[in-house]
Amino acid sequence: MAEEPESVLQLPPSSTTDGEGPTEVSPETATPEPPSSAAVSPGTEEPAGDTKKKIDVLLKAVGDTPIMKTKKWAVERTRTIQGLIDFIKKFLKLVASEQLFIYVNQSFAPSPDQEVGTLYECFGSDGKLVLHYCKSQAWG
Amino acid sequence: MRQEDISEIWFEYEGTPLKWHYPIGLLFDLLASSSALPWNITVHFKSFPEKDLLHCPSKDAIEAHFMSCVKEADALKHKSQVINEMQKKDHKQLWMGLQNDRFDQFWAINRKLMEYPAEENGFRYIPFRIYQTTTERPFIQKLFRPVAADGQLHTLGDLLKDVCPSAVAPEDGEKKNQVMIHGIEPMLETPLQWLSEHLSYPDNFLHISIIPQPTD
Repeated sequence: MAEEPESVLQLPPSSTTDGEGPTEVSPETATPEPPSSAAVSPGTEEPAGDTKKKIDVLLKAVGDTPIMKTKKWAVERTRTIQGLIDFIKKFLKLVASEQLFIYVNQSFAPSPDQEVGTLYECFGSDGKLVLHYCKSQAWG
Repeated sequence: MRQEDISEIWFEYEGTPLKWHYPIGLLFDLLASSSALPWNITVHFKSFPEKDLLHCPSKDAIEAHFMSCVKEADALKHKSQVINEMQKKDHKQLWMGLQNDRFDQFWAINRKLMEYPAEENGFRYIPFRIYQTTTERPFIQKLFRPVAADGQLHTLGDLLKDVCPSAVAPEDGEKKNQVMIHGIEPMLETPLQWLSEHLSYPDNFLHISIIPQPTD
């Protein structure tokens, strides 16, 4: 995945690769602005299972769907898939009528009312949840 | 009713909008298990509760939701290997079998989703969701293995103690909740793997309702 210039930087770009530990601090990490609590290093300490902490979500575009310059976001666990869809659509300046699909494991589309925290616990790996987004149905 | 008064249809029971994307058996267990049958629900044609319900634009949306659940379940059970090895027509057969109430048609495919390697004692993880009316969260879903590290089969009680301890009464304490699946209260000693194979819904999830113990 190519690194892009960032508008919202978390930390000096000293560690550009994902560390193995939960302390990975990628310069890509940023906080979606709606209920944003200042862009403070969300990835610095993240004891597994801490329900209060935000989780890291990596957003990847599929097909001809526009990519997001910032791919990694710190997201509240209680945020829903629909909340994430709305955020991405706003970020990409899609019109409200355009559809956006989100996939886990490049396989299934979680229901819009599912919480990302639950998906993270079941399908997260290396301290982050990878989600693919697409303007058309990518996987059945 | 005048035509202009009719917009999107939705259902409600005692003030709670009913989610179309939940199995009806789950909705009944969770919201109405003490009420008489047939279940009386209210049908609405206006004032769609945007905050509580997803829109159901078409039958295709229902099929897509169902298949997504089956895929998610298989991701937990077999790392998606079984569902991915199937052909498109097998997926279709699952859905058509369910839609047309053709048990044999459905189960001919579903049985493959219920298999596991002989050397294992069950699935990788058990696909389950635990619902409570008393919490804001939609449901609890976590990774939980059917077999403990020491080789013992995990039971329904083990699962609840681990992921939802408030649901189980303390030893010789008063029973405050009922744990319902498909309208019955399975014994908490029941192995979870057995429940997953025999009491899962067609979407391959165990939908478990925790409801307050009725007081007579």
